Amino acid sequence: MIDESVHAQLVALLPRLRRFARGLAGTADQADDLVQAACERALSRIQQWTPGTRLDSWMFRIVQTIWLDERRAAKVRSGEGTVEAENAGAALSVDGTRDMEAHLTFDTVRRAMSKLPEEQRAVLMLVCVEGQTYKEAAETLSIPIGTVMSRLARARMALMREMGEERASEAHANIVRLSSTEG
Amino acid sequence: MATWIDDVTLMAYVDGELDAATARDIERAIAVDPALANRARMFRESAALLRGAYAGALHEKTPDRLIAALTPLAKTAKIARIGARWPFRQVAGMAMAASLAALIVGAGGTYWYVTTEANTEERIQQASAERWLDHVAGFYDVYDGTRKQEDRLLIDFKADDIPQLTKWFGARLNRNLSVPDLSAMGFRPQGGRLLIINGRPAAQLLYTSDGGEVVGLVIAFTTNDYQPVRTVRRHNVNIVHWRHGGYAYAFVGSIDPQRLRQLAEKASQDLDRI
Repeated sequence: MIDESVHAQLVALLPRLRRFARGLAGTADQADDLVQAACERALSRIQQWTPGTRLDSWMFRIVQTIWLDERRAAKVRSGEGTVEAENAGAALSVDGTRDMEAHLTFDTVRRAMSKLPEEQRAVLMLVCVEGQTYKEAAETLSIPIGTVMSRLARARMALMREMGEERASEAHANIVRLSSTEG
Repeated sequence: MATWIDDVTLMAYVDGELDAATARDIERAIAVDPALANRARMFRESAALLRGAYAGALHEKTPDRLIAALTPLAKTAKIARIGARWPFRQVAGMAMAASLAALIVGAGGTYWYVTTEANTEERIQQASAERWLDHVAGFYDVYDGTRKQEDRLLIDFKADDIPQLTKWFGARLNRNLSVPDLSAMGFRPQGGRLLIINGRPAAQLLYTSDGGEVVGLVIAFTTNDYQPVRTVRRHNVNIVHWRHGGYAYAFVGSIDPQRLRQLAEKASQDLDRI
Protein backbone atom coordinates (compact mmCIF):
# COMPACT_ATOMS: atom_id res chain seq x y z
CA MET A 1 0.00 0.00 0.00
CA ILE A 2 1.33 3.41 -0.92
CA ASP A 3 2.15 5.82 1.91
CA GLU A 4 -0.27 8.74 2.11
CA SER A 5 2.43 11.38 2.01
CA VAL A 6 4.00 9.78 -1.05
CA HIS A 7 0.59 9.62 -2.67
CA ALA A 8 0.11 13.32 -1.99
CA GLN A 9 3.52 14.12 -3.45
CA LEU A 10 2.71 12.15 -6.57
CA VAL A 11 -0.60 13.92 -7.03
CA ALA A 12 1.15 17.27 -6.59
CA LEU A 13 3.68 16.23 -9.21
CA LEU A 14 1.05 15.55 -11.85
CA PRO A 15 1.11 19.02 -13.47
CA ARG A 16 4.87 18.84 -13.89
CA LEU A 17 4.70 15.31 -15.17
CA ARG A 18 2.11 16.40 -17.73
CA ARG A 19 4.34 19.26 -18.78
CA PHE A 20 7.34 17.00 -19.15
CA ALA A 21 5.29 14.43 -21.05
CA ARG A 22 4.02 17.08 -23.45
CA GLY A 23 7.56 17.98 -24.28
CA LEU A 24 8.20 14.38 -25.19
CA ALA A 25 4.94 13.34 -26.75
CA GLY A 26 3.84 16.50 -28.49
CA THR A 27 0.10 16.22 -28.06
CA ALA A 28 -1.80 16.68 -24.81
CA ASP A 29 -3.72 13.42 -25.20
CA GLN A 30 -0.60 11.39 -25.84
CA ALA A 31 1.09 13.10 -22.93
CA ASP A 32 -1.74 12.26 -20.54
CA ASP A 33 -1.70 8.63 -21.69
CA LEU A 34 1.99 8.64 -20.99
CA VAL A 35 1.55 10.13 -17.52
CA GLN A 36 -1.21 7.67 -16.75
CA ALA A 37 1.03 4.77 -17.71
CA ALA A 38 3.82 6.22 -15.59
CA CYS A 39 1.52 6.54 -12.58
CA GLU A 40 0.35 2.97 -12.96
CA ARG A 41 3.92 1.76 -13.23
CA ALA A 42 5.08 3.88 -10.32
CA LEU A 43 2.43 2.36 -8.07
CA SER A 44 3.51 -1.12 -9.05
CA ARG A 45 7.15 -0.29 -8.29
CA ILE A 46 6.84 2.16 -5.46
CA GLN A 47 9.04 -0.06 -3.29
CA GLN A 48 11.88 0.67 -5.72
CA TRP A 49 11.86 4.36 -4.87
CA THR A 50 14.15 5.21 -1.97
CA PRO A 51 12.60 7.66 0.50
CA GLY A 52 14.80 10.71 0.79
CA THR A 53 15.73 10.68 -2.88
CA ARG A 54 13.98 12.85 -5.41
CA LEU A 55 10.57 11.53 -6.25
CA ASP A 56 10.24 13.88 -9.23
CA SER A 57 13.41 12.60 -10.87
CA TRP A 58 12.26 9.04 -10.33
CA MET A 59 8.93 9.82 -11.97
CA PHE A 60 10.54 11.70 -14.87
CA ARG A 61 12.67 8.66 -15.46
CA ILE A 62 9.64 6.39 -15.56
CA VAL A 63 7.89 8.73 -17.99
CA GLN A 64 10.98 8.79 -20.19
CA THR A 65 11.37 5.01 -20.11
CA ILE A 66 7.75 4.41 -21.04
CA TRP A 67 7.95 6.99 -23.77
CA LEU A 68 10.96 5.35 -25.39
CA ASP A 69 9.21 2.02 -25.07
CA GLU A 70 6.15 3.51 -26.75
CA ARG A 71 8.18 5.08 -29.51
CA ARG A 72 9.89 1.84 -30.33
CA ALA A 73 6.49 0.19 -30.51
CA ALA A 74 5.15 3.03 -32.63
CA LYS A 75 7.87 2.54 -35.18
CA VAL A 76 6.43 -0.88 -35.77
CA ARG A 77 2.94 0.51 -36.25
CA SER A 78 2.53 2.03 -39.64
CA GLY A 79 1.42 5.60 -40.01
CA GLU A 80 1.80 6.56 -36.37
CA GLY A 81 5.34 7.77 -36.35
CA THR A 82 4.62 11.46 -36.64
CA VAL A 83 4.50 13.58 -33.55
CA GLU A 84 2.51 16.75 -33.86
CA ALA A 85 2.73 19.84 -31.76
CA GLU A 86 -0.13 20.33 -29.37
CA ASN A 87 -2.80 22.88 -29.78
CA ALA A 88 -2.49 24.42 -26.37
CA GLY A 89 -5.88 26.12 -26.49
CA ALA A 90 -6.52 28.21 -23.44
CA ALA A 91 -3.37 27.12 -21.71
CA LEU A 92 -1.35 30.20 -22.46
CA SER A 93 -2.26 33.36 -20.71
CA VAL A 94 -0.60 36.16 -18.89
CA ASP A 95 -2.52 37.67 -15.99
CA GLY A 96 -5.59 35.94 -17.34
CA THR A 97 -5.36 37.43 -20.79
CA ARG A 98 -4.68 35.36 -23.86
CA ASP A 99 -1.81 36.74 -25.81
CA MET A 100 -2.16 35.71 -29.42
CA GLU A 101 1.35 36.60 -30.39
CA ALA A 102 2.81 34.64 -27.54
CA HIS A 103 0.47 31.83 -28.45
CA LEU A 104 1.77 31.78 -32.00
CA THR A 105 5.36 31.97 -30.84
CA PHE A 106 4.90 29.16 -28.39
CA ASP A 107 3.14 27.12 -31.04
CA THR A 108 6.23 27.59 -33.16
CA VAL A 109 8.41 26.43 -30.29
CA ARG A 110 6.34 23.32 -29.79
CA ARG A 111 6.37 22.53 -33.48
CA ALA A 112 10.14 22.98 -33.59
CA MET A 113 10.47 20.85 -30.48
CA SER A 114 8.48 18.02 -32.04
CA LYS A 115 11.03 17.83 -34.86
CA LEU A 116 13.95 17.19 -32.53
CA PRO A 117 15.22 13.70 -31.74
CA GLU A 118 13.56 12.20 -28.67
CA GLU A 119 16.69 12.21 -26.54
CA GLN A 120 17.19 15.91 -27.20
CA ARG A 121 13.62 16.70 -26.21
CA ALA A 122 14.04 14.93 -22.90
CA VAL A 123 17.19 16.77 -21.92
CA LEU A 124 15.72 20.13 -22.98
CA MET A 125 12.64 19.55 -20.86
CA LEU A 126 14.62 18.50 -17.81
CA VAL A 127 17.19 21.29 -17.87
CA CYS A 128 15.45 24.24 -19.52
CA VAL A 129 11.90 23.66 -18.33
CA GLU A 130 12.22 21.66 -15.13
CA GLY A 131 15.36 23.49 -14.06
CA GLN A 132 17.36 20.41 -13.26
CA THR A 133 21.12 20.70 -13.03
CA TYR A 134 23.21 18.80 -15.53
CA LYS A 135 24.05 16.29 -12.83
CA GLU A 136 20.40 15.77 -11.94
CA ALA A 137 19.44 15.39 -15.59
CA ALA A 138 22.25 12.90 -16.07
CA GLU A 139 20.95 10.84 -13.15
CA THR A 140 17.38 11.05 -14.34
CA LEU A 141 18.28 9.88 -17.83
CA SER A 142 21.06 7.49 -16.75
CA ILE A 143 23.60 9.09 -19.06
CA PRO A 144 26.96 10.81 -18.38
CA ILE A 145 27.01 14.54 -17.67
CA GLY A 146 29.14 15.11 -20.75
CA THR A 147 26.42 13.52 -22.85
CA VAL A 148 23.83 15.78 -21.23
CA MET A 149 25.90 18.82 -22.12
CA SER A 150 26.62 17.92 -25.72
CA ARG A 151 23.05 16.76 -26.27
CA LEU A 152 21.70 19.92 -24.72
CA ALA A 153 23.86 22.20 -26.82
CA ARG A 154 22.90 20.40 -30.00
CA ALA A 155 19.25 20.48 -29.01
CA ARG A 156 19.25 24.21 -28.37
CA MET A 157 20.98 24.94 -31.63
CA ALA A 158 18.59 22.69 -33.51
CA LEU A 159 15.58 24.22 -31.78
CA MET A 160 16.55 27.72 -32.70
CA ARG A 161 17.46 26.67 -36.21
CA GLU A 162 14.04 25.07 -36.59
CA MET A 163 12.33 28.17 -35.41
CA GLY A 164 14.30 30.25 -37.81
CA GLU A 165 15.93 33.56 -37.25
CA GLU A 166 12.82 35.53 -38.01
CA ARG A 167 10.69 33.66 -35.52
CA ALA A 168 13.49 33.80 -32.98
CA SER A 169 13.60 37.56 -33.20
CA GLU A 170 9.83 37.76 -32.89
CA ALA A 171 9.96 35.46 -29.92
CA HIS A 172 12.58 37.59 -28.23
CA ALA A 173 10.36 40.62 -28.59
CA ASN A 174 7.44 38.72 -27.12
CA ILE A 175 9.43 37.53 -24.16
CA VAL A 176 10.56 41.05 -23.40
CA ARG A 177 7.00 42.34 -23.69
CA LEU A 178 5.54 39.52 -21.60
CA SER A 179 8.15 40.12 -18.95
CA SER A 180 7.19 43.78 -18.77
CA THR A 181 3.50 42.84 -18.60
CA GLU A 182 4.14 40.52 -15.70
CA GLY A 183 6.19 43.16 -13.96
CA MET B 1 34.37 35.25 -30.39
CA ALA B 2 36.85 34.00 -27.83
CA THR B 3 38.25 30.82 -29.28
CA TRP B 4 38.31 28.90 -26.00
CA ILE B 5 34.59 29.39 -25.42
CA ASP B 6 32.72 26.77 -27.37
CA ASP B 7 28.96 26.34 -27.41
CA VAL B 8 28.93 23.76 -24.66
CA THR B 9 30.93 26.02 -22.33
CA LEU B 10 28.82 29.03 -23.18
CA MET B 11 25.64 27.07 -22.55
CA ALA B 12 26.99 25.84 -19.23
CA TYR B 13 27.62 29.47 -18.30
CA VAL B 14 24.07 30.46 -19.20
CA ASP B 15 22.73 27.55 -17.17
CA GLY B 16 24.77 28.48 -14.11
CA GLU B 17 26.87 25.33 -14.21
CA LEU B 18 30.33 26.92 -14.21
CA ASP B 19 32.45 27.85 -11.25
CA ALA B 20 32.61 31.54 -10.34
CA ALA B 21 36.05 32.22 -11.81
CA THR B 22 35.25 30.69 -15.19
CA ALA B 23 31.90 32.47 -15.26
CA ARG B 24 33.64 35.80 -14.71
CA ASP B 25 36.03 35.07 -17.59
CA ILE B 26 33.10 34.41 -19.87
CA GLU B 27 31.29 37.55 -18.75
CA ARG B 28 34.35 39.58 -19.68
CA ALA B 29 34.53 37.90 -23.08
CA ILE B 30 30.84 38.52 -23.71
CA ALA B 31 31.24 42.19 -22.88
CA VAL B 32 33.62 42.69 -25.78
CA ASP B 33 32.33 40.13 -28.25
CA PRO B 34 28.88 40.81 -29.77
CA ALA B 35 28.79 37.43 -31.54
CA LEU B 36 29.43 35.64 -28.27
CA ALA B 37 26.84 37.81 -26.53
CA ASN B 38 24.33 36.95 -29.22
CA ARG B 39 24.89 33.25 -28.78
CA ALA B 40 24.55 33.54 -25.03
CA ARG B 41 21.27 35.38 -25.54
CA MET B 42 20.09 32.64 -27.85
CA PHE B 43 20.79 29.99 -25.24
CA ARG B 44 18.95 31.99 -22.58
CA GLU B 45 16.10 32.64 -24.94
CA SER B 46 15.68 28.99 -25.84
CA ALA B 47 15.11 28.11 -22.19
CA ALA B 48 12.64 30.97 -21.68
CA LEU B 49 10.70 30.03 -24.78
CA LEU B 50 10.48 26.42 -23.75
CA ARG B 51 9.23 27.32 -20.30
CA GLY B 52 6.56 29.49 -21.85
CA ALA B 53 5.58 26.94 -24.46
CA TYR B 54 4.96 24.22 -21.91
CA ALA B 55 3.60 26.30 -19.05
CA GLY B 56 0.03 25.39 -19.90
CA ALA B 57 0.06 22.04 -18.15
CA LEU B 58 0.86 23.73 -14.85
CA HIS B 59 -2.31 25.81 -14.92
CA GLU B 60 -4.82 23.33 -16.26
CA LYS B 61 -7.07 21.17 -14.16
CA THR B 62 -5.46 17.78 -13.78
CA PRO B 63 -7.65 15.15 -15.47
CA ASP B 64 -9.48 12.89 -13.06
CA ARG B 65 -8.13 9.81 -14.79
CA LEU B 66 -4.59 10.73 -13.79
CA ILE B 67 -5.53 11.24 -10.17
CA ALA B 68 -7.43 7.96 -10.30
CA ALA B 69 -4.36 6.25 -11.69
CA LEU B 70 -2.54 7.16 -8.49
CA THR B 71 -5.33 6.02 -6.24
CA PRO B 72 -4.49 2.81 -4.43
CA LEU B 73 -6.06 -0.26 -5.89
CA ALA B 74 -9.75 -0.98 -5.77
CA LYS B 75 -10.86 -2.51 -2.51
CA THR B 76 -12.38 -5.55 -4.10
CA ALA B 77 -11.81 -6.88 -7.56
CA LYS B 78 -14.98 -8.09 -9.17
CA ILE B 79 -15.00 -11.46 -10.77
CA ALA B 80 -15.08 -11.07 -14.50
CA ARG B 81 -18.45 -11.55 -16.06
CA ILE B 82 -18.27 -14.67 -18.14
CA GLY B 83 -20.83 -14.81 -20.89
CA ALA B 84 -22.69 -17.88 -21.98
CA ARG B 85 -20.82 -17.96 -25.26
CA TRP B 86 -17.25 -19.07 -25.50
CA PRO B 87 -15.46 -17.83 -28.60
CA PHE B 88 -13.36 -20.90 -29.25
CA ARG B 89 -16.29 -23.28 -29.13
CA GLN B 90 -18.50 -21.27 -31.42
CA VAL B 91 -16.13 -20.66 -34.26
CA ALA B 92 -18.00 -22.86 -36.73
CA GLY B 93 -21.43 -21.41 -36.01
CA MET B 94 -20.23 -17.85 -36.11
CA ALA B 95 -18.42 -18.43 -39.36
CA MET B 96 -21.50 -19.66 -41.13
CA ALA B 97 -23.84 -17.13 -39.63
CA ALA B 98 -21.66 -14.22 -40.57
CA SER B 99 -21.08 -15.49 -44.08
CA LEU B 100 -17.76 -13.71 -43.94
CA ALA B 101 -15.57 -16.65 -43.35
CA ALA B 102 -14.67 -20.06 -44.47
CA LEU B 103 -14.29 -22.90 -42.09
CA ILE B 104 -11.36 -25.09 -42.88
CA VAL B 105 -10.81 -28.47 -41.39
CA GLY B 106 -7.11 -28.98 -41.08
CA ALA B 107 -5.26 -32.20 -41.39
CA GLY B 108 -5.45 -32.82 -37.69
CA GLY B 109 -9.15 -32.14 -37.57
CA THR B 110 -8.66 -28.76 -35.94
CA TYR B 111 -11.12 -26.07 -36.84
CA TRP B 112 -9.56 -23.00 -38.32
CA TYR B 113 -11.36 -19.76 -38.89
CA VAL B 114 -10.18 -17.55 -41.72
CA THR B 115 -11.80 -14.35 -42.84
CA THR B 116 -12.12 -14.38 -46.60
CA GLU B 117 -14.36 -11.55 -47.65
CA ALA B 118 -16.64 -8.88 -46.31
CA ASN B 119 -18.52 -5.93 -47.68
CA THR B 120 -17.00 -2.49 -47.44
CA GLU B 121 -18.86 -1.35 -44.34
CA GLU B 122 -18.07 -4.52 -42.50
CA ARG B 123 -14.45 -4.21 -43.51
CA ILE B 124 -14.30 -0.68 -42.14
CA GLN B 125 -15.96 -1.71 -38.89
CA GLN B 126 -13.67 -4.65 -38.52
CA ALA B 127 -10.57 -2.58 -39.30
CA SER B 128 -11.62 -0.05 -36.68
CA ALA B 129 -12.30 -2.71 -34.08
CA GLU B 130 -8.95 -4.32 -34.76
CA ARG B 131 -6.83 -1.20 -34.62
CA TRP B 132 -5.72 -2.07 -31.12
CA LEU B 133 -3.95 -5.08 -32.59
CA ASP B 134 -1.36 -2.75 -34.08
CA HIS B 135 -0.46 -1.79 -30.53
CA VAL B 136 -0.35 -5.45 -29.55
CA ALA B 137 2.05 -6.21 -32.41
CA GLY B 138 4.16 -3.19 -31.58
CA PHE B 139 4.50 -3.99 -27.92
CA TYR B 140 5.34 -7.59 -28.74
CA ASP B 141 8.04 -6.47 -31.13
CA VAL B 142 9.53 -4.17 -28.52
CA TYR B 143 9.80 -6.99 -26.02
CA ASP B 144 10.96 -9.63 -28.46
CA GLY B 145 13.47 -7.36 -30.13
CA THR B 146 15.09 -5.97 -27.05
CA ARG B 147 14.55 -8.53 -24.32
CA LYS B 148 18.17 -9.65 -24.25
CA GLN B 149 19.50 -6.21 -23.55
CA GLU B 150 16.72 -4.41 -21.81
CA ASP B 151 14.21 -6.76 -20.24
CA ARG B 152 15.01 -5.09 -16.95
CA LEU B 153 13.15 -2.08 -18.30
CA LEU B 154 10.41 -3.92 -20.08
CA ILE B 155 9.08 -6.26 -17.42
CA ASP B 156 7.01 -4.90 -14.56
CA PHE B 157 6.69 -8.23 -12.78
CA LYS B 158 9.07 -11.14 -13.13
CA ALA B 159 7.90 -14.73 -13.26
CA ASP B 160 9.04 -15.29 -9.69
CA ASP B 161 6.52 -12.69 -8.57
CA ILE B 162 3.40 -14.23 -10.10
CA PRO B 163 1.19 -13.76 -7.01
CA GLN B 164 1.91 -10.05 -7.00
CA LEU B 165 1.45 -9.92 -10.77
CA THR B 166 -1.98 -11.54 -10.67
CA LYS B 167 -3.07 -9.40 -7.75
CA TRP B 168 -1.88 -6.16 -9.30
CA PHE B 169 -3.09 -6.75 -12.84
CA GLY B 170 -6.30 -8.28 -11.56
CA ALA B 171 -7.10 -5.13 -9.67
CA ARG B 172 -6.21 -2.94 -12.64
CA LEU B 173 -8.39 -5.00 -14.93
CA ASN B 174 -11.14 -5.28 -12.34
CA ARG B 175 -11.22 -9.05 -12.43
CA ASN B 176 -9.73 -12.12 -10.89
CA LEU B 177 -6.77 -13.14 -12.97
CA SER B 178 -4.65 -16.24 -13.23
CA VAL B 179 -1.58 -16.79 -15.33
CA PRO B 180 -2.49 -19.51 -17.85
CA ASP B 181 -0.39 -22.64 -17.53
CA LEU B 182 1.14 -23.37 -20.93
CA SER B 183 3.92 -25.60 -19.66
CA ALA B 184 2.46 -28.70 -21.31
CA MET B 185 2.96 -26.92 -24.61
CA GLY B 186 6.51 -25.91 -23.81
CA PHE B 187 6.03 -22.31 -22.73
CA ARG B 188 6.87 -20.89 -19.33
CA PRO B 189 5.81 -17.48 -17.99
CA GLN B 190 8.49 -14.80 -17.94
CA GLY B 191 6.49 -12.04 -16.34
CA GLY B 192 4.10 -9.28 -17.17
CA ARG B 193 4.02 -5.70 -18.32
CA LEU B 194 1.54 -2.94 -17.99
CA LEU B 195 0.38 -1.43 -21.27
CA ILE B 196 -1.99 1.43 -21.93
CA ILE B 197 -4.33 0.70 -24.82
CA ASN B 198 -6.96 3.22 -25.80
CA GLY B 199 -6.25 5.11 -22.60
CA ARG B 200 -6.94 2.19 -20.28
CA PRO B 201 -4.66 -0.24 -18.53
CA ALA B 202 -3.98 -3.56 -20.18
CA ALA B 203 -1.86 -6.52 -19.15
CA GLN B 204 0.70 -8.29 -21.27
CA LEU B 205 1.79 -11.69 -20.01
CA LEU B 206 4.94 -13.01 -21.63
CA TYR B 207 6.05 -16.61 -22.13
CA THR B 208 9.14 -18.19 -23.63
CA SER B 209 9.97 -21.70 -24.76
CA ASP B 210 13.24 -23.53 -24.26
CA GLY B 211 14.02 -22.75 -27.86
CA GLY B 212 13.76 -19.03 -27.19
CA GLU B 213 10.39 -18.48 -28.83
CA VAL B 214 8.35 -15.69 -27.29
CA VAL B 215 4.59 -15.39 -27.12
CA GLY B 216 2.49 -12.82 -25.33
CA LEU B 217 -1.07 -12.62 -24.11
CA VAL B 218 -2.64 -9.18 -23.91
CA ILE B 219 -5.80 -8.63 -21.89
CA ALA B 220 -7.55 -5.30 -22.32
CA PHE B 221 -10.90 -3.74 -21.60
CA THR B 222 -13.45 -3.63 -24.39
CA THR B 223 -16.96 -2.31 -24.84
CA ASN B 224 -17.73 -5.03 -27.37
CA ASP B 225 -18.87 -7.94 -25.32
CA TYR B 226 -18.23 -10.70 -27.78
CA GLN B 227 -16.18 -11.49 -30.84
CA PRO B 228 -15.30 -14.93 -32.08
CA VAL B 229 -11.71 -15.96 -32.37
CA ARG B 230 -9.85 -14.63 -35.39
CA THR B 231 -6.30 -14.80 -36.61
CA VAL B 232 -4.52 -11.91 -38.26
CA ARG B 233 -0.97 -11.11 -39.20
CA ARG B 234 0.39 -7.69 -38.31
CA HIS B 235 3.89 -6.41 -38.76
CA ASN B 236 5.35 -9.88 -39.26
CA VAL B 237 3.76 -11.39 -36.18
CA ASN B 238 0.65 -13.55 -35.86
CA ILE B 239 -2.18 -12.62 -33.54
CA VAL B 240 -5.07 -14.76 -32.37
CA HIS B 241 -7.69 -12.51 -30.84
CA TRP B 242 -11.17 -12.69 -29.39
CA ARG B 243 -13.49 -10.79 -27.05
CA HIS B 244 -15.39 -12.32 -24.23
CA GLY B 245 -17.07 -11.19 -21.06
CA GLY B 246 -16.09 -7.55 -21.42
CA TYR B 247 -12.43 -8.19 -22.22
CA ALA B 248 -10.43 -8.27 -25.41
CA TYR B 249 -7.72 -10.90 -25.65
CA ALA B 250 -4.86 -11.17 -28.09
CA PHE B 251 -2.30 -13.93 -28.21
CA VAL B 252 0.69 -12.78 -30.20
CA GLY B 253 3.88 -14.37 -31.43
CA SER B 254 6.12 -15.12 -34.35
CA ILE B 255 5.40 -18.84 -34.17
CA ASP B 256 3.21 -20.79 -36.52
CA PRO B 257 -0.40 -19.54 -36.32
CA GLN B 258 -1.83 -22.96 -35.62
CA ARG B 259 0.45 -23.45 -32.61
CA LEU B 260 -0.39 -19.95 -31.52
CA ARG B 261 -4.08 -20.72 -31.68
CA GLN B 262 -3.62 -23.87 -29.61
CA LEU B 263 -1.80 -21.85 -26.98
CA ALA B 264 -4.52 -19.21 -27.11
CA GLU B 265 -7.24 -21.79 -26.64
CA LYS B 266 -5.48 -23.26 -23.62
CA ALA B 267 -5.01 -19.78 -22.20
CA SER B 268 -8.66 -19.01 -22.75
CA GLN B 269 -9.68 -22.16 -20.90
CA ASP B 270 -7.47 -21.28 -17.95
CA LEU B 271 -8.71 -17.70 -17.83
CA ASP B 272 -12.33 -18.80 -17.89
CA ARG B 273 -11.72 -21.32 -15.13
CA ILE B 274 -11.41 -18.59 -12.50
